[in-house]
Amino acid sequence: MELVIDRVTKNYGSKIACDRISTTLHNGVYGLLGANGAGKTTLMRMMCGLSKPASGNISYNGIDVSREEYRDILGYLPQNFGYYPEFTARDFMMYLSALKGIPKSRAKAKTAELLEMVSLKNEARKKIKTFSGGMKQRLGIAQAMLNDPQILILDEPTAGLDPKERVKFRNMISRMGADRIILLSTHIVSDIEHIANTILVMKSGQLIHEGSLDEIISVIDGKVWECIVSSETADELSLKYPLINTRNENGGVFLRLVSDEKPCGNAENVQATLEDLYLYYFNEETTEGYAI
Amino acid sequence: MNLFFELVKFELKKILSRKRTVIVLALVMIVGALSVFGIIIGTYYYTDENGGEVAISRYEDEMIERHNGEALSGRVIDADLIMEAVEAYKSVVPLESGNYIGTLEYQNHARKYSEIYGIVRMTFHLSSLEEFQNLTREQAEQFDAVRRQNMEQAMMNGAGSENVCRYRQKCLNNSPASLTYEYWGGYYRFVTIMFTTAVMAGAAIAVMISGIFSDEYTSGADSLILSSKHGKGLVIGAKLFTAFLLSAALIALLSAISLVESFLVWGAGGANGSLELAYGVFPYPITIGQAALFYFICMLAGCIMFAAITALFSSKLKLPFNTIVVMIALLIVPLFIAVPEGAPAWVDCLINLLPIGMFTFWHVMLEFQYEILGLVIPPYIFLPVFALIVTCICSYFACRGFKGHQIS
Repeated sequence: MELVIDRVTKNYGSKIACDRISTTLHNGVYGLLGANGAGKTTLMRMMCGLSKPASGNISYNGIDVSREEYRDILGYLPQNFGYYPEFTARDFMMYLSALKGIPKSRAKAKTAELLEMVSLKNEARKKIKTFSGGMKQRLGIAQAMLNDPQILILDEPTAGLDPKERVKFRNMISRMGADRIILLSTHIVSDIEHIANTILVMKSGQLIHEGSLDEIISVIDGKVWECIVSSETADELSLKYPLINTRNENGGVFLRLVSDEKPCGNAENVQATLEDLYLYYFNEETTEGYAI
Repeated sequence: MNLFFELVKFELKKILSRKRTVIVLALVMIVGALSVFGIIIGTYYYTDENGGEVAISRYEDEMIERHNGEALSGRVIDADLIMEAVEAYKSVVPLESGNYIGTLEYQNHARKYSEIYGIVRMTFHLSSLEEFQNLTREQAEQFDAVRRQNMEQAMMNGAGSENVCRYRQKCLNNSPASLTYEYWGGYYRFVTIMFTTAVMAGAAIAVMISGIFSDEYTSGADSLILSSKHGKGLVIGAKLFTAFLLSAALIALLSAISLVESFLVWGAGGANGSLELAYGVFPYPITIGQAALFYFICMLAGCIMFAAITALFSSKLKLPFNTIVVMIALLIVPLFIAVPEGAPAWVDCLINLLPIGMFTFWHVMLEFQYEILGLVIPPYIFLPVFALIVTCICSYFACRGFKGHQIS
């Protein structure tokens, strides 16, 4: 059971959205991390057969993504999914069930089960146009799971969810990841940290890192520092090193930054987190000149 | 199959829940239902012998026409009937203005023969009332011969290949030796009213179907549909089927309303009358009832073809508004194209293939036939077949357009 992405390239005019991406996904939860415009959504769309790669191919156990058999085992939540304002949540789920080829009787049961799972049971007969952003997002998550997919691709699934719903969603994904491939992209690093077995880091259309949380973090291990300095020193350091965090504290300025060497006398080396890595990499896009 | 109809049900729900669909459907239904009343509401004013104005409601006037027509139904238009009409018209003395409609003699005696007067005038190419009043019995006895001569002449117009000539000759041979008058007011009003109604239905179809694919693009639902199992197959079929079903239902409903209303006001008689009773159409060997049925089939096929073209544009143009503009232009612009006198027959044949051609009774029964591989096909048969072929081609490309849609 493997989803093979083989040298996939996609360009929009002269802009390369995905540049010769290759990887193989097996059962488990994969977190796709990258700044806006890194190519995450383009890659996900190609994995769903919604956009043709300029070169390369994607297949699951030898089945090309353009095939109906592939779509039959696919669940997808787009970043901004379209809905029909006049449909009720139940109608929407029943329509998607029909699109996924689920017989009516099974669709009814599955719809009830999933709406309950995403806490929309009491809103099942309400029109989607009356839903809040979070409710729509939950509905989107529910529809992606209708066909009990072998491959679940979720683009920003936790956007708009409140903390309680996010935790519930994370637990659900963790459980489901045991026997299927789940790929999710999000800007909420803690979501990936909690549930992804493997993290894929994308930057400028390229897959720059792939590995477990520890493997990924090891890139900046021993390079994350915390210190409290005067505001003048803080200004100097912020020009010199990528800042992860800054706040006023005890009459000075607390800094968390990434540096190969000790940045100042009172700096303490601390355990790196995924957020450090994310901010380090994607801060770099606006703070040029730093690399590890 | 159940799944297919489940998808059709949702497609119907999507279309019918759009505000623009509700508004346009309501408008078309109201205007369609009221169009018959447009003819019978109001008042006619005649000038009488004393120069005064005589007012009569349009409904009453139409009822007099119907009564007169029905009284003559079943009578063979022969010398006896023609001379009866001539005698009745002889008493009519036109006013100074040349108008005679308001005279008592016309209203009381001649009017009951007005239909016969019309047919005889057309047949003998009479230019004035006086010429009709002076028609002799010898001339009247020549009515069938002149009628046949006229038909032969009409068939010479734009005559095509040998096959076409043979076909026309066959039609002529099948034409009855004598013409029996039948009052066909109900059918006449139906085929007249339906032109406007069908054009309105076309516009409504453009509005309803314009979003069948492009609304998915604009709403962002395309990602969900195209990544689902049946998103690139069954659902496209369901969308097209829904488009055709809605279009067919709309034109059928509007036709039924117009037909029932026309029959209620002008009666349902004349179904077995010869098509020769209708002015300006080719005397195909069919009855008026059959001609009305063929006309309905042509409108139905025209609407389905129009829906297929709309669906094609919807899959290609991405925005429903653009599709509506293109389709309304396709519907309306040909109305302003005047075919010059003496233009080759193929020009008429070509224009007839547009939806507007299929919506016009006189075009559906036009004297120009289509010839394919030596087979001569009258327009009322060729047009629906052509519409079916165009529907299949457009459906194929619409399907490809949606299937191949790239989300970027």
